[in-house]
Formats: sequence, structure tokens, C-alpha cells
Amino acid sequence: MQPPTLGHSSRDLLLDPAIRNWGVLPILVFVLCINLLRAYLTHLGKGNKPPEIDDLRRRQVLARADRLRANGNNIHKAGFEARKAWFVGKDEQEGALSEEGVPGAVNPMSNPMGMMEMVKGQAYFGMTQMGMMQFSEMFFAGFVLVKIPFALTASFKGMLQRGIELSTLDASYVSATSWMFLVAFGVKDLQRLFSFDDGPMKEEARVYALQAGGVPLGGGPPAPMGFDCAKMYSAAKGGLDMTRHRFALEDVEKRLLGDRYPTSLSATETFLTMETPTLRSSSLGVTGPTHTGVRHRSQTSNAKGK
Amino acid sequence: MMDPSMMQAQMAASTSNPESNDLSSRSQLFSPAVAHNAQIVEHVRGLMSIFAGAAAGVLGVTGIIQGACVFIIFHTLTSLGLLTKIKLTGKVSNYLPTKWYAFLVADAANHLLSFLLFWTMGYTLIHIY
Repeated sequence: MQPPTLGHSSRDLLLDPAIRNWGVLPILVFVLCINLLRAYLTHLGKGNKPPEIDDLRRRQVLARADRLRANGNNIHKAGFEARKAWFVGKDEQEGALSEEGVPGAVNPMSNPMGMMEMVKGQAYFGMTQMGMMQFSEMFFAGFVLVKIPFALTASFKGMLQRGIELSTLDASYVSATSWMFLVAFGVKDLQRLFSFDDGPMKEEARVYALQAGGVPLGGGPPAPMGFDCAKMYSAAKGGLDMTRHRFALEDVEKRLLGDRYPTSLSATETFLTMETPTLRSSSLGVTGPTHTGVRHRSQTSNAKGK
Repeated sequence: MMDPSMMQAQMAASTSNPESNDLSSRSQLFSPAVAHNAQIVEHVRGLMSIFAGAAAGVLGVTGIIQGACVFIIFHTLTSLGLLTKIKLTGKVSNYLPTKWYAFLVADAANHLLSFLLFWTMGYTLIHIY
């Protein structure tokens, strides 16, 4: 008598539950553990080499210049000009971006220690993949492990059914090696859930956040190689030179008040010709906007030459 | 999810159109907040793909098209669920640098392989063994 089966169609093979206990689940657990181990090992093997201070300083200056160019419209013109002068230089004073002796393109070959680290990282990855393949071929050869839920053409048989020479077997039934590859690709999500709570995996979280959010955290991760400082400095300088500044809060009172913006002359005239408090009087040499953000009528008319 | 538009005082992200004078059309988002939001969304979608795959496998869904439909339906439902966190009236661009129609479809391919794995596993463990 056939054992009772759960939702078992008559066309499917029935496999021995021992294969499930000793094949499918162990490979899953094994690959998951190998991935976690690899992640922790790469984290441990990173080392605590502090970044070079000159390099770091130049990167930060570049980041600040980029930020100024992008967000400069949010500060008024005097502030923007002051910052721009610090970067680009003005009237015989050299700016920060005109620094002498800035290194050009870094030749990756000239940094043997860095290269070794990258090669080591890749080697770990490749070695574990090969090791897992050998492992599954050695221990789980010759039988069908798993059925893929959708139909595949016969040409997939050569790839997915290594070691099983049955010409009439559905291509959906696959061997242990292909199950291992399936697991290796699909377990990344599960592994991420296991290792991102806290602790040593915060680094990985940053990398994933970078990929997902598309916005670099902080100042952006340090570029591994090929950081051409001189070229980027001159590009930033040219960009800042060409930036046109338009103060975003120019007419903010109009936007804020909308319909309530006073248009009747008498009210504005009275308001604007009021005496400003002594603290902000021009005897102190303060010529910036008043604390309300509204330009004094006399100031604007002077500026516009009316 | 944190609201990065509250932290516009610390501008860390670059604007897309510096010429525009309208503050609401520029996306000045605080990047650690955006990263946090993106990580949460990734978590949710990863969990979704795992459970959707297991469900599809256990229910005996066969065929590529049917499986893809299940995946798309689950993905859209979870994205809509995430959208209700901002009450469906807030804008996605306040939280992430994407638009709402991109948010529904984005990052689907990252989780497709997990879905496939758990779908295969669910189907095999219940229907073949």
C-alpha cells in the first residue's frame, strides 16, 4: 500500500525522506554557515590600519566643496562668497583647492599591501565556492535531490543533473550541486537577517544601505584606488567658479505670507520707516539683513540704484 | 521611519536642480536617515520574499508564470503596506530618494533569488517527500 502523501500528484517522483534529512537540509545549513563564517572572517581580517591623514584631509575638502556647490543657494550671498573665496582663492590669496604638490592618479600597482588585501578577499570567496562544489560532488553524487517547481527544457539536464544519466527524467529534478548553487545565491537574504542586528556587521549594513539608498553615508566610503586628487581638485575649482548663486530665501516673506503679503503702500511705508532698535543700527557697521529677513526699503533701493 | 525632511538644517545630500528656487521640489534628505529607511525597506522585502516563497512552495504553485505572478503580487502588497506607514498621503520622496511608482517596483530583482530558493524548498519538502 502506498504511504499517504500530501498533495502528491501522480506525475511526481516520490523520494526517500532520508534524502531530505541528510541531503537537502544539511546542504542548506552548511551553505548558510559557510557564508556567515566568511562574512565574519573578512570582518576580522580587515585590520585596523588608520587612514592616511593627508589623503583624508583632501577628501574632506573636496566633499565640502561639493556640498557648497550643491547647497550654496541656501545661504545668502556674502556667506557663499566668503566660503567660495576660502576654496578658490581671491586677490592673490590662494584657496584651499589650489594646494601645491597634490598627488595625481594613484597607480594601483604601487600599493602592494592594498592589492594583497583585495586579492585575499576575492580568494576567500572563490575558494569557498570551489570547496563547496567539490564537497557536494563528493558526498552527494548520483541522486536527485530537489524538484524545481517550474518546467525546464531538456538542455538544462546537462547542467543541472550532473552524474545522473537518465534520459527520460524530467529536467526539473536536479542534483545536489545545482541545489547547492541555488542555496548559495538565495541564502544571502537569510544571512543578512541573521547578522545585521548589531555588533560586527554594522559595516555590511552600511554597504547595503549605500546600495539600496543610493546616497553615500557621511562623506562617502573611501575610494579604493585611482583617486586622482589633482584632477578632482581642479574640477571642483572650476565648478565652484562657474556656480551661479541665487539666494533661495530671497523672497521668502512673499512665499510665506502669500495672499497676506501687504501691498498697500501706507502700511509698508510706516513699517519700513520705523526706527530699528539700536542694537542693529548701522552705527555698528552691520549691513546685513534685519532680523525679520525683510529688506529695508532704503537698503534695497540703494542696491538697485533706484 | 525617520523623517529626514525634518533635518533639512544638516544638508548632506546634493540637490538635483540647484537652479530651482522652490524648496519643495528639491530633495534635501539627511543621508543617515535615508540609509536607515532603505535598510528597513530591504529587511521587510527580504522577509517578504522568504515567506512568499515558502507559501508558494507549500501551496504547490508550479510554472514560471504562476510563480512570477505570486512574487509580483506579494511584492506590490508589501510595498503598499510600507506606503501606508506614511498614511498614503505623505510623499515617498520625503523618506527615500525615489518616487512612489518607482518604490513599488524597485529592488524586486534583489529578492527574486531568495524567493526562488524558498519556493523550491517549500515545494520539494511538501510535494516530493
